[in-house]
Amino acid sequence: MNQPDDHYYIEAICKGDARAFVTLVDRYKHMVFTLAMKILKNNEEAEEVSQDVFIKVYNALHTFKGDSKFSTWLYKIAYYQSLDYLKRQKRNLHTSSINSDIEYHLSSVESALNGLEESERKLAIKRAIDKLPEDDAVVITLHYFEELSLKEIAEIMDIEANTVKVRLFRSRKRLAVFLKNELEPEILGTYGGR
Amino acid sequence: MEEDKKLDDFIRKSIKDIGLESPSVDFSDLIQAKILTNTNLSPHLTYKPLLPKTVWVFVVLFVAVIFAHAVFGQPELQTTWFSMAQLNKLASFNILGKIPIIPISSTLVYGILTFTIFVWVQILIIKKRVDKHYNFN
Repeated sequence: MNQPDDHYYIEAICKGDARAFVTLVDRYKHMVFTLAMKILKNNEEAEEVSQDVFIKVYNALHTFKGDSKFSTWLYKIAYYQSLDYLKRQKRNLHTSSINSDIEYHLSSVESALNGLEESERKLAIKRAIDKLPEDDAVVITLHYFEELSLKEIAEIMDIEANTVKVRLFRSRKRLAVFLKNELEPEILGTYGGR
Repeated sequence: MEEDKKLDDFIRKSIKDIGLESPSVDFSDLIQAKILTNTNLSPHLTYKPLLPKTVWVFVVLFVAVIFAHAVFGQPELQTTWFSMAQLNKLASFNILGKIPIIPISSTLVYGILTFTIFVWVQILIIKKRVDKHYNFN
């Protein structure tokens, strides 16, 4: 059975039904927490920031005009709340020194990854994503997890859609390079076995 | 192009494979508790005008009555109090003559000028520092 859309709950909350907000929290908490994790790289900090995000959203719900999707508005708040937290901690966003032009031979990476146990495979992918600079990880998360368009990502991160496109292109290649590095022993094993 | 499409598919599959990260199990309960216990948190802040409609009606009526009285009431202008005020004395009142002359030494003038310049420079430095500290990108 289909659940009502976000606007149904937003209207209920604005009419005074605070409990309706929990449905929205349950619907988006994983994505908000994942975004915070990609930027802060720390479980406790991401949890704290995610809670602040939802409280902030609840307080500002009456200002949400519905020009964009509720999720886009929420993710934008989550992104900037995480950046604010970094700034308060006097930490900066990282940049990657990895050149995205490095060869990675997709087929070898793919076959090495498929040769792993499920848990090992997930761990390798997770470790590779964690090595990405924060903004790259956010772009990858929003595009592949949430299937957001370049325009929506641009709106969340307050950058041009073309910049998102370029960043996504580079992030993909960087992720492939990091994955290749993670799977180096398996790839060498594959060649050795031939 | 072909390679990029393959990479796109591969990354999509890999990312979907690991799923999203999960916050603590009591995450939603904590937020609900915060919202329900704190009465200050309210998403529906209703707009309350500073002056209620009834006050506005009274103000408009009052102004209308005054206006109507001025136009149609033929009010008598009495100037007796005006002559009692002896406003003509103001014309011969020399305020500049009443100000005492305080001698200020050149050293004090230079001191005040230097102090002003230092304050001005400090404001510029502090502004630059604050801008740099609180600016993204």
